[in-house]
Amino acid sequence: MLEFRPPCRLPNFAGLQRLGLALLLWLVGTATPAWSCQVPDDPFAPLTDARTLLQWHWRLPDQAVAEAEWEPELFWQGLLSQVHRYYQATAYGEAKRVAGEMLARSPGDPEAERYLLHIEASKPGSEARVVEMCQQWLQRHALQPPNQIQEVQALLHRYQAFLENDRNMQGGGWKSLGLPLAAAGLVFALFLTLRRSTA
Amino acid sequence: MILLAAGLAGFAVLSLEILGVHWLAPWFGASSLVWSNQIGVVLLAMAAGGWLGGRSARKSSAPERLAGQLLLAGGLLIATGLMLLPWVAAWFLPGAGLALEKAAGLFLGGSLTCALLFFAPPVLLLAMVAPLLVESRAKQKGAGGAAGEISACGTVGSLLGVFGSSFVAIPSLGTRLTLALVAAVLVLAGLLLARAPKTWLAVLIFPALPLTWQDAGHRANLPTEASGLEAKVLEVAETPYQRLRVVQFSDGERWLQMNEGLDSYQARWLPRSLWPGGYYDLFLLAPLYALEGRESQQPVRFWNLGFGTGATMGPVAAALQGLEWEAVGVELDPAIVELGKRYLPMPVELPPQIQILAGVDARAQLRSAPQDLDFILLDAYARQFEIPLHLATVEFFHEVAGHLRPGGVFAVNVGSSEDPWSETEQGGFTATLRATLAEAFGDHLRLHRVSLSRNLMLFARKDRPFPKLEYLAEVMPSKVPVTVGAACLPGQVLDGAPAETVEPFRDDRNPLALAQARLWLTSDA
Repeated sequence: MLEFRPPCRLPNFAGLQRLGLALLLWLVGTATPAWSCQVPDDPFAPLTDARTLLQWHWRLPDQAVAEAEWEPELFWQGLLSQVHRYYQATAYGEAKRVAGEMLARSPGDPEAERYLLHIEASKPGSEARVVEMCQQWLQRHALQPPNQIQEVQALLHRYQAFLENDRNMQGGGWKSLGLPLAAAGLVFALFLTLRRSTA
Repeated sequence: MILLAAGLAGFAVLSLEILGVHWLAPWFGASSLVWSNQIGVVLLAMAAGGWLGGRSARKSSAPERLAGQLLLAGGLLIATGLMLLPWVAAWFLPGAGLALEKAAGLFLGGSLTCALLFFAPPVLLLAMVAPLLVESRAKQKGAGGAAGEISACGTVGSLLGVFGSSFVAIPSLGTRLTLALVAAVLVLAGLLLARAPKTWLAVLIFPALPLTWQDAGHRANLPTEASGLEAKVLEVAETPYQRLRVVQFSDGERWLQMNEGLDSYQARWLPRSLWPGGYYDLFLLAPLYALEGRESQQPVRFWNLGFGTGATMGPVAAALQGLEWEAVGVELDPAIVELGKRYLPMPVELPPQIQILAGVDARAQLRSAPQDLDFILLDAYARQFEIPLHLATVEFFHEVAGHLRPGGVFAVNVGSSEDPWSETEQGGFTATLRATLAEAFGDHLRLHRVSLSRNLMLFARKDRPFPKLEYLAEVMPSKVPVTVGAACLPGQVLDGAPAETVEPFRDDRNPLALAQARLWLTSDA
């Protein structure tokens, strides 16, 4: 069995951030023992397959230590790269963990909250919660870049439409409860008619 | 003629009971809840009809003729239902886009409404027939003798209805044609018994009318693509177990759907790909885990219970590349295997290594399996979202363990929207299933959450713990979809048996049907 959900558009990042982190990751890569790993140099490029993802994941602790020692100011960019890659790979548990780490270091951070929003949107039955989170994000982060604002607004509108569709489809419950009762009434009326005719 | 009429009435009632659910299935499915609705409504109508028949028998001066009129009316009502039910069922359901977990209330209410409107009235009238025939026959045989004869003939008719409809009529004629024939036979018998004028034979056209237009069930609850376009139906097949449908999307992807379809599938196929997607891809982990520490040079051997169309074979074969292997696939419904060969074929190099046993029950067939398999896969679902009761008990899991070598692995697909990490889900369906597995495999369990899915993959290992997750980074083949890797990360994996004490499912005490129904109904809330 499977559920299909419309794909969420992924957040975007500025080029300079990518360049800085690419440099850092190259530095780390030369210092750490290598699995046969095809991790792209661009820290925000998707990981191509399961083996690459797993090998990248299990190398991260070494990498994080190296980042903290060598280039601590890029540690935050490293977290962004992690949450982005985990999210792209649908590893939502890990993405949520990293987003939580980001919020612990910088409460209310708009990037982290944006990822949590998308992660929440991946869960079935989360429409109402996603709408609430989108509205809160738009209220708190009105000064974020326009592309991010538009992205969250689009998500909000999409999930509001889902909620509206769900409400219409459920029909307020009258079909599920009222119609069986009405049908039972009709059958009972048939029974009473036949009973009278056989009296 | 009297005894024949009794047999016909019994035949029609049981046929309607069995065929009724098959007929409702394209719109409302055939879950245990729908079956309960159907059986309950039919039994209630039979009780009411029997009582009314007794009252009529005392009053009627020509009970045989009245019985004939009731047979005629019953047949005409069945034919009327053949025409109207698709419209009512389709009106009950919303348009495109309904997800399986949103449908619980509609399916329950819809199937109950249709059963009350279209099955209760004809069954009620047909159940009135037996007392009238007893009254008529009693003049010759006495009350006891007549009651015994009529009851026996009615029961024989019921037997023919049960077996004939399920195993003969549905596969060869289909539900609609069978119901039309039942209606026509009732109308004819009623006309003869009531000694109606020959001009009334024209009424026989009525049951044939619905057959002049296409079966609306073929296109009920079709899944829609993201663009809103509907999938194309390639083929529909009715089997004793379910209605099957192969649909194709515009990008060539194909699904095998069962009964009410919606956004759910029983098999998925992508052209030119080993990877069907979703939970199927995670079956690759079974050989990866099983091969850890394996020293034997013998070919790898495994069984796949609930083989279906062989969708799991591509991922498993990817994990076994370069190794010799042999597999046995067990599938209850042969029609699924045939549809799979035609529309959802396995990669061409795989079939020679796989022996498929179709038309047999997984548990019964497992008893003939070797005692040293490397791994066993289980992906068996009946009625869309229900694991068969006998394939989720302590006793069955002990049997599975008995056919695995030490270190062998058992992999199970579990359809569940529960979050096993959430405290509110403790004691739920998934926890109970894990506790049941733990009775046979101890603490050597591992659960992988499948992203963007209603599924969890449960693994159990015989006599050995699972390796650390870092192991998968070393042995994972290349070009495996990244979503498989995501499901192997620590945030998506849960090891061990459930912490809390949960009563497992057992052969003689198995509330699995109730647990699954509760899971489905509460996911709709």
